[in-house]
Amino acid sequence: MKGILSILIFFPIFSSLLLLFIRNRNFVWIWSFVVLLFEFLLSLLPLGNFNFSENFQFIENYNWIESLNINYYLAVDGLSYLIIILTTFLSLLGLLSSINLIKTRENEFAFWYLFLTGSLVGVFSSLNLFLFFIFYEFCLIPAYFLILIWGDNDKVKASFKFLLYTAFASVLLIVSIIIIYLQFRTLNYLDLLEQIPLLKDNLGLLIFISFALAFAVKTPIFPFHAWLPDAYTNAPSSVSLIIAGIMAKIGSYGFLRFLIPLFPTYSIEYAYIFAILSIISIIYGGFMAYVQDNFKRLIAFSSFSHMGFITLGIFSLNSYGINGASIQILNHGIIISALFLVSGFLYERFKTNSISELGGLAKTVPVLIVFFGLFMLSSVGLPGTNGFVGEFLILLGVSLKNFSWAIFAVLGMIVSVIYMLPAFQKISYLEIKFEKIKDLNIREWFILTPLIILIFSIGIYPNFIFKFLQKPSEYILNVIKKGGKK
Amino acid sequence: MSIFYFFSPEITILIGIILLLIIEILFPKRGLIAFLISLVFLFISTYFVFEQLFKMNKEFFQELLKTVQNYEYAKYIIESLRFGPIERLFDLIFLIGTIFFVILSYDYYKNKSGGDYYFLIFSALFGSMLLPKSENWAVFILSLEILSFSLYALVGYKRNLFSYEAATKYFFIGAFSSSFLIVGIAFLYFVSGSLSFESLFQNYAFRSFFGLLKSKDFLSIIGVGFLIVGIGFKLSAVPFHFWTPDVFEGSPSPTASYISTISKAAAFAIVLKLFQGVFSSYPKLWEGLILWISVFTMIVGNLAAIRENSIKKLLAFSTIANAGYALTGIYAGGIEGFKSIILFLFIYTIMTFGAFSIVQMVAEDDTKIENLKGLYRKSPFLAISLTLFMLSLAGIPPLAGFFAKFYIAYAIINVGDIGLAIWLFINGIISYYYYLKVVYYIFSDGEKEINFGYLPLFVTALCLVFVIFIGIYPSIILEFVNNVLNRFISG
Repeated sequence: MKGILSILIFFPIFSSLLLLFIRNRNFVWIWSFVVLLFEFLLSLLPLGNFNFSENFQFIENYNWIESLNINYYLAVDGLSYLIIILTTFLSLLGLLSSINLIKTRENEFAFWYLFLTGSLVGVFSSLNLFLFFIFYEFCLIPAYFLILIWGDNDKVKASFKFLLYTAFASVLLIVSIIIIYLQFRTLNYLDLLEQIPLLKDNLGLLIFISFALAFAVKTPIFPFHAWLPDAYTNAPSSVSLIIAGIMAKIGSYGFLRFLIPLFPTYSIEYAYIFAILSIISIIYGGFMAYVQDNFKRLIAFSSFSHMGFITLGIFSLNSYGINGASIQILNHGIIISALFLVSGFLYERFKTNSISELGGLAKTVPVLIVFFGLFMLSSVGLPGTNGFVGEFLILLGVSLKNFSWAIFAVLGMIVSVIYMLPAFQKISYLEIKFEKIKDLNIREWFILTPLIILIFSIGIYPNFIFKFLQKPSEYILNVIKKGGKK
Repeated sequence: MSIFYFFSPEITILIGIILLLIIEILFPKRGLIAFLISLVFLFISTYFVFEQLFKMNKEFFQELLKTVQNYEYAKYIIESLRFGPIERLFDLIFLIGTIFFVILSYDYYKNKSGGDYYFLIFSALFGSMLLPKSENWAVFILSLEILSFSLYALVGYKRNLFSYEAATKYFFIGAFSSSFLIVGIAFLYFVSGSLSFESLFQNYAFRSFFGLLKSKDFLSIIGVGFLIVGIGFKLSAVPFHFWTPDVFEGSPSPTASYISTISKAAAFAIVLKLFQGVFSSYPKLWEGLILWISVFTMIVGNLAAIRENSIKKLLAFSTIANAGYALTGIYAGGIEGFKSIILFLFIYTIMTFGAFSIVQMVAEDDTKIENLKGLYRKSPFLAISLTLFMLSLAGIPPLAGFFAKFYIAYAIINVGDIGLAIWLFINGIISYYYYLKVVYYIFSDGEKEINFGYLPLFVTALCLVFVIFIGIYPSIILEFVNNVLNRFISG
């Protein structure tokens, strides 16, 4: 299994290069589909060798820039491995769903898409801060162009906002990485963990804030979310799927992987700030979603609201909260991409995203609406679906930490029902506005079925996921315990 | 060892200069002959530089001093020029850049130029090679003028109205700035009573050691003020940058790339020497000035570039912004500062020549960025290369430009100035906007005429390999610079 992570990163990147020189439409789709299918199967390959009693595995550690002591260090634990599988899986579905959606310059689209997949895998597998930063910064560029070239009306503004927000946050990140390097002369995550607490006084606080800011913008938490609605709404739905489902997870993953373990004392001390901001995100996002007429915008704000749950769980800093947040990272990825896929299919058929222009679709496209209904129920956290597992654990964790936070968070859950159900009603029922149109074709069945299976299997028997998450969350809790003493 | 061995790179260039003039007399307007001969001489000189860089250590210099004793006049050379490892590393940048320049020029002019043109290139190169080595003000001003006068002629060589306009502007600004330099030098001459850098350094060191250096030494302040104004014009640092876009727009692409890389690198080399060497014991005199000039140079260059819609002018403003980044490296100083400047200038030179080699093919007469539309349809390779150069100039990892910026920031934070490093990266983010705008148009649909040439394509490919390879594996260049400097320090 040695080298599997490098292969997962560079296989799509190198295979995408061919697409720049061949423009035949059929070839482009077949080639990129085969590459991503292969990539997905490759990412499943380490399952057999996965060691549940160990934390970091499939380690690749090579000298890279010797005189600066910077290593090419890749490894995954249960959490990041699951996110990587999710990445390759969602990329595959997203690519399949864009075949009808993207009608111009397909080869460039597929090129950036494959590039994005590779660099996202890089983000989740690198354990050297320098390497992490390189992937973190780099995955901006494909996403920027995917929004800019194939986006909707407001694409220029949306893509630029997206780039600006994330890039400005990364400025502080790289500067603090250099400061950490100057202090310890190493950037390997595992070496740095032994040096905790990293820095004290003002400098330590500054670094903590810059890490927090970088991840808060990516997540995003209120008030750093201004890029989100525009980017999610204007990107083609297969791209919003990747940005919301995977790229936004860089934020919550970063909290779990870097921020809390590297700065346990500050994290404990300032957890309440993150929690309060998360609660604001949950409720504010919910109300914003309620007033939207644009279906994609509604999904965007619902995503924003649900990401608030994840950060709230993370910063309750106990076992329930962190486990719940970890599994919710995956669940949210599945649910939000399912909703974006539905919005994409609706747009393909009816050429509109406006909820008020849609209506009576339960008669027009009954199967699609059944799928939509199930996704919607999972999104509001119906017991038996995967959405319930994560949100329940998070609420449990939060109420153990601080009961008043939990009250507000439950309020947020109710809000999510308030905006989701009427939207579903307006789209599916009420007056019939469209002629009967072709329901799901085989390709679309193929895209949506695995998502339904995942939603219910995680909802009914979440233990096969928790088996992966056990070790990483134990690890983080240990660090918190140790950091709390100091 | 013969005395000629130590000066072999310069002597090679000198011989080249003379030979090229003779060739122009014997075979007038035969571009190819002159082109090949100049390439040969450039490669020989590069070889000598490499050889010296691999050998250079303390013994090498003792050998040099011993050899010089045998020659009556050679000791004047040693007194007025310094042949250290840092100077030789700069030579490498100049030579590699000039090789690119010569290749691009031949494609541009073909047989419309002869030995005279290559003679101008060689004398510009000779001037820039001498400039960082100068050890007194006389050599300094002479080598600077050799460089500048060759460039004035090169800018006007195209012989059309725009080219003349650019040359005239460049000449007036250059002459104006030289006069500032000379006045500044005169004031500094009053301080030390000698033209040599060494005596000025001794003067400051002596006075600061005995606490005689008052916080306001008016002669020095006025002198350095004039000096910074004069050099600021050469660096195109804000607020002395106005000439840059106009000159770039009017001059042929090869010349513009030369102005934005080699002549800048030479000016940076001498600024590095002056401020981190000569005035190093009197930092109050210049640190604040350099700091604020670099801060404003970055932001003005970047903000002005946002509104620009001519690719050449955009690259001119990018030159200004990059001058700001490099100035922060000078502000940082120390061994890391030296390294960061050398790495930055080398990588910047490669990126800029790469970008200009493509501009020469696709946008020489029609410089509007909008008119790059359809480049990707016409030639995917050129489009992707230009994209990579733009991304690299913007400093997006994992390309070479990112590493250059990273190392500069590293040097700055190393001396404890976190705010400046943040400012540097924020400027990088602003620059994303206009570089990515170019990329956007490259990939848009449209019709595009390409003035295809194999020689610029060769330069493009070479620069592309450098940009990608240094970006992915920066050790290769970092270790080289480290080795040269370590061998010299440890003896």
